[in-house]
Amino acid sequence: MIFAGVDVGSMSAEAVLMKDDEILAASVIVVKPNPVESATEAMAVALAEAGLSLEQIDYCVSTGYGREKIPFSDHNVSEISCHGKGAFWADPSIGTIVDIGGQDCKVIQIDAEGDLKDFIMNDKCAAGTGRFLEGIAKSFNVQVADLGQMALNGSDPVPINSICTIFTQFDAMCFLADGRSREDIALGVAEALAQRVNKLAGQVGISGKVCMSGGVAKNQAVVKAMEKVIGHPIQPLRVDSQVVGALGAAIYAAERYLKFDEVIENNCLDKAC
Amino acid sequence: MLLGCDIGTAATKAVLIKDDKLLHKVKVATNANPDDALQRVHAAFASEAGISATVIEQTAITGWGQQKVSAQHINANHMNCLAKAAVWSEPSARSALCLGAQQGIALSIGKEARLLDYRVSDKCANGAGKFLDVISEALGCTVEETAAIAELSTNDLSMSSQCAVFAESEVVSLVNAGEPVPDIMEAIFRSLIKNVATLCKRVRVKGPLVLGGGLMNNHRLVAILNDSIKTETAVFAQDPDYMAAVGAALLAKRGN
Amino acid sequence: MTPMIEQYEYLRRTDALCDLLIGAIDTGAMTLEELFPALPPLPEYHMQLINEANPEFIAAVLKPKNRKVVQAHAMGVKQYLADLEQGMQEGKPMVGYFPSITPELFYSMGLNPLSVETMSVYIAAAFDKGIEAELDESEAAGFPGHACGIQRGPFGAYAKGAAPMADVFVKCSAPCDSSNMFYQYTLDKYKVPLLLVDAPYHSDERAFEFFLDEFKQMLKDLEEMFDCKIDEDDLRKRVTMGNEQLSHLYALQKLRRQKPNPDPGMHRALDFGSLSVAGSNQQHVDYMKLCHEEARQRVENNQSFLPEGKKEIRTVWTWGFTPHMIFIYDWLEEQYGATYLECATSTLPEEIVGYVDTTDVDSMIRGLAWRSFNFPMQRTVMSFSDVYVNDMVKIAKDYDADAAVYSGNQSCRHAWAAAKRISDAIMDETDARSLTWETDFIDKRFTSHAATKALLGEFFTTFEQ
Repeated sequence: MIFAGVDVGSMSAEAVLMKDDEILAASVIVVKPNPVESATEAMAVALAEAGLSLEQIDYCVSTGYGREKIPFSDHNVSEISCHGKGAFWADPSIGTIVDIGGQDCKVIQIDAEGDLKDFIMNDKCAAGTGRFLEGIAKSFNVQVADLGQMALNGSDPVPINSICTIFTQFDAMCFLADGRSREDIALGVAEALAQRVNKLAGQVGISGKVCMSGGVAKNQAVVKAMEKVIGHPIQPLRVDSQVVGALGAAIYAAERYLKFDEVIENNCLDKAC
Repeated sequence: MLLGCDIGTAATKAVLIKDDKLLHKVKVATNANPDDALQRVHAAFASEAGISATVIEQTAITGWGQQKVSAQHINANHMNCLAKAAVWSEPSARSALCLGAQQGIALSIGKEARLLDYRVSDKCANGAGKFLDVISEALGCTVEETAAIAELSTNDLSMSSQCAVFAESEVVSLVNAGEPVPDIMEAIFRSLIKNVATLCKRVRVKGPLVLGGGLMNNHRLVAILNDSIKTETAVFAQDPDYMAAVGAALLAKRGN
Repeated sequence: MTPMIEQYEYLRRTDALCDLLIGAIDTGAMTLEELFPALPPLPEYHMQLINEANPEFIAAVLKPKNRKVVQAHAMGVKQYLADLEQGMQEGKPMVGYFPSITPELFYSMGLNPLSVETMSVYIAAAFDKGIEAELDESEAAGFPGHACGIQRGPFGAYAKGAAPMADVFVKCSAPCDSSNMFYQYTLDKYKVPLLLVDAPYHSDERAFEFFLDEFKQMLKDLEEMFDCKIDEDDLRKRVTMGNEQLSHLYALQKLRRQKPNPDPGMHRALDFGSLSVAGSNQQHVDYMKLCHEEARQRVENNQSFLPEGKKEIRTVWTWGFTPHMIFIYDWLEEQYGATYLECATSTLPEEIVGYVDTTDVDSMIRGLAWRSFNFPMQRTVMSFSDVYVNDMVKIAKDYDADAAVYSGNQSCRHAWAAAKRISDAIMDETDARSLTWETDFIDKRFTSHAATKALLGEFFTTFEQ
């Protein structure tokens, strides 16, 4: 059996293919304005990597933007549950996932089975999301990925008092004009991001081991800042943090398919969810 | 001859006032360097109006860059500048609203043209100039062109993003989805004014409300504001961008 | 024998703080630079505290206008803790209470009163690392971050064993939900009995009679629980001390109407501290008396503590004082000539509260209940907003205020509901200018001292032009 999960975000889209509880292939692409196109392309890249065709997928679950509209998906699940499920598969000792995406951030609590227990999300304000970093990277004329390395080389983080992403860009410019190094500014920005996310986390609480998912988790400076601010170590995951959502979707695909199998065998279709 | 200078986060506005009359005004980019901005102001007054720094009796500075200027000057409290300038522009003014690049200020004026109450909105870009900068860049037009674009709007579009950063993305998706740019622009204006109206209500603005800040050159924005707060307004005389600078120059008199 | 209070970090810290303040002022040093070389050798615990002290607070304390008064107050707090220690050693049952009931009755019943909340105020005021650790712990344990810091601190303290657990808690249902939530929590978690004195929203005679009934029931319950009785002589002695304290407070409130106001603003928090433990010891009476005398002398000698040439900006603080930054009231006097008239967390209107009639036990209970009913916050906050608004407008008028500043505690929801009504009413009925902003009572990280100074500076500068 081959199962697929696809996750369309605000900045990237991912697809994960699984067989026998192992990852066959995973893809990460830049999103297109149309979520169906994004999902199709992400899927195509993953299929190509695995040397498979769409027809060979037994069950596909979609999540993220436009999840109900994906034509090749059999079912859709909320990205919050998918992130929880994916993190749990990667490490069953995880209890809390801090997911920092392109335009939102979430703190997700899962139970001992990897199912959703509690969560909180911010999708109203860019502070605490990938866009926060993107703005600074743009004003430094670097890629977001390089910003992380820059921050790690910082030693004396600048204090960022503005809450607004746009105002923070101005603050960064002023620090530059005052002679502060880009490394220290990048570090200050990473810490400010962690502070914003921590404020959110405080409302739902941290329980069990903590991991991070989403593209921003690749920024080591942010991860370190997060650890400092929440006072818990961040467990590294054995999968790419950016594919955790798609991974969870693939696992849900497997669960649903196998449950149907069971149901058909036991002849109790009416009890199927 | 008194110099009033408002060193804002984006632009530095300066005016020369003599006997309460505005003689000349200049605007330069601040570039996060207040000392340099002030020097360029002096250079501009010299080259454009033939006025050299030697005839200036007193300089008063207000705005973001106030504390960072090393040249001799007096500091003018920003709220006092706005109140003073409002009454200079409109003698019966009872309140003022000034939207800068990053912050909006609403204030009420009490007896004898003295400041009574004020509120500053400086946490969120939506409600200040930066919001429109970001959107117009996304739409590929200048800020000055936005009013004419919005006036062509025929449909009420609703936008879900409050945040300037997200609004930018939303605008791009709306354009891709084929929505008319004038409708999008009008929706953006309404979103901005909604926040501004809330600020005004907090200080119980009463007419005449004097409007300052570069955004008030945008007649469509002003029209939406008028509809929204139902208070008699008057755009600051001469040029709303210079409101705080004029106030500073007027206060420089007292500093002597 | 090691004092029992030393097992409890909160109490130990407060006690050592008092030692430091008393000792520092005794050296005669006027500034921080003069102080350190002049200090005698101190135990390690005290040395550690000096490193944690807020230097701006210490510098303000050493100033001539504050020093004697702060020393007198510290002696009052030290005596309070010494009495607490004695009570613990004698095995007296401990009564924990929210500071809107004064402790005369508890003492006179042979009980040992302790208000952990009041200790929080001192620790937050004096130390850079105030009680932020306890606040964070309380949030980690699930106590909401938007509850009042004055409860979050003790919550964390109890959890760590940094404060002794009482044998019974007494709480009026006013002034707020936040405080009620805390006492319900301690009942639930620590199984300590809670005696709740229900305080109605109304402020009329009928409401008071209801409150008085509740108050008397609480006293009856205490007598039954601990098999004790009110000692009339002891009660009278303490009530008389409390009345004397109040006579000085009332006189001070009148003197503050003078121009310039002769009473330094840093003392308001201390005034509340003394008021909340009225009748506990003579030192607190001496503190109030000293405040009164110093203010009166300034008026008689036509002296002002304001810097030469600074025009007075008379300010009414329509929310109240903020413990973690009480040195800022001193800073405002120095920088802007902004004097502190009254605030809703320390004002006690004489024409309403008056004195407690000492004729007999009944009259004393009635008088003490009446005072509780009209205590700061209790009277204004959990009540119809007219009471609060009218109280503040009256002060603004009677004292001829130039400014009305609402420095609201972020968690004080009932008060915040009235904030705009208060500032609007004051601006409509007087010439005062208004400022409203948000801070946290105890957590200095909410609005930093730097941000606070910028905000207040911007406001008070508007008076200069």
